[in-house]
Amino acid sequence: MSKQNVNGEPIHSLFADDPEMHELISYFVQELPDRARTVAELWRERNLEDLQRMAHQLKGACGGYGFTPVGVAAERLEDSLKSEADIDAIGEQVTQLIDLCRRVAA
Amino acid sequence: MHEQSTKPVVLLIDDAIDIHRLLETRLRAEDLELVSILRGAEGLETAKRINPALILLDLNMPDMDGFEVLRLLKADPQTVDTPVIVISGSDQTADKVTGLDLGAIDYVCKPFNFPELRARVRAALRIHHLMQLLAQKAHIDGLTGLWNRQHFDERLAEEVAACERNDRSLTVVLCDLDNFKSLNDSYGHAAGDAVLQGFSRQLGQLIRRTDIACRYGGEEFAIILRDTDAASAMSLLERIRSELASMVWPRHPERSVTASFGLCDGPPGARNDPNAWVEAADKALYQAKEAGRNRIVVAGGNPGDAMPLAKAG
Ligand SMILES: [Mg+2]
Repeated sequence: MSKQNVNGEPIHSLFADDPEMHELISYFVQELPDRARTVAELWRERNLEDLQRMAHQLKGACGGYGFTPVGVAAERLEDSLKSEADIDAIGEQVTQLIDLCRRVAA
Repeated sequence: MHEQSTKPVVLLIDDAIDIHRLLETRLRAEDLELVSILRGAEGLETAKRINPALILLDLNMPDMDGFEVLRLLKADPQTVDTPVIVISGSDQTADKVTGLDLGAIDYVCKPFNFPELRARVRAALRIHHLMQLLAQKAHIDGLTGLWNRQHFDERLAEEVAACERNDRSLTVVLCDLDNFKSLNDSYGHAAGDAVLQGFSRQLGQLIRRTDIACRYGGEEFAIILRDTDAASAMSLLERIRSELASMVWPRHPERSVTASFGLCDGPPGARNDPNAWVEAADKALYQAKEAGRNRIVVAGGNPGDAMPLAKAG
């Protein structure tokens, strides 16, 4: 698996300046590495069903917390899993999603 | 209006804790109270228990998905009228059509656009408020503004059950305007209507907030007095009786109007039967008519001595 993008620019929330969201976002960012690890694990086990559920939740959550690029990557992964796309393409999307998760910053 | 208007309760059913946190924050400024549930089945059970003003329902959930929850909500008379907004990560037309056809009033996609979500929540709460007004209107008597017979029947069943369960006192009153037919004949129906309205207004002013005054039919009224025994009911009714008798009517100042009252604070041996309360009050009312009208009679006789239920007045 390639490791490109790991050192890309940090991704900040669209709502980073919204005081109402401040606490929520930092909480979310703290938890995100755990979720990225879960995604990697599910992919390693080829547990595609739970992986799809996870992608679905990340899509809604990352979008809602203002991390649009991560939400979009999660959506792409969910769509590929739903349509039973080529397994290599799915692997590539998993990698991209995990890399984007790592760049998320409060 | 037996439900006090506090903040409307909005029930969120979504399997993602992120969404709970997000909405709890994003809807904080709205005039509502949010209750969040993670599972479909539990959400359904909660909806029945708390009777929310609005349900925000996720589609993609394990065990019981949102469509199934929606189907069950709409199949249950208790929740069928509760507005539901589907909140889903799916922007597929087929899902939107299914959700709306199953009875959702709106469909909002995730990720949320929050100003839009908030506006849609407010719109749904307005609809809920209007539906409540409409439901209430169906229980109000058009001429007098009092509750109608249907409302009386429903509330009486509830109050009789509640007083049995909680060992509280309860008094049911039937009241009939005396010689109303002759009043109508002498002064016309408009005068009769004015009397019904005037008496209803007086009744509304004299009863307490927890009492339930209804137009039972024609010139007959029914009052449910919660947490009230016959003795305290008597003092309230005596005031109503004497104030009515001394009222001067613009259309016929020469003729006063009186009413007779029968009340029952528990039919012996049949406390859990709403009909038995009404029958006992009705018998007492008949006795009040027989004894000369313009008086109050407490049901106390043996329910075995059946008396004709015809009205003397
Ligand atoms: Mg979900």
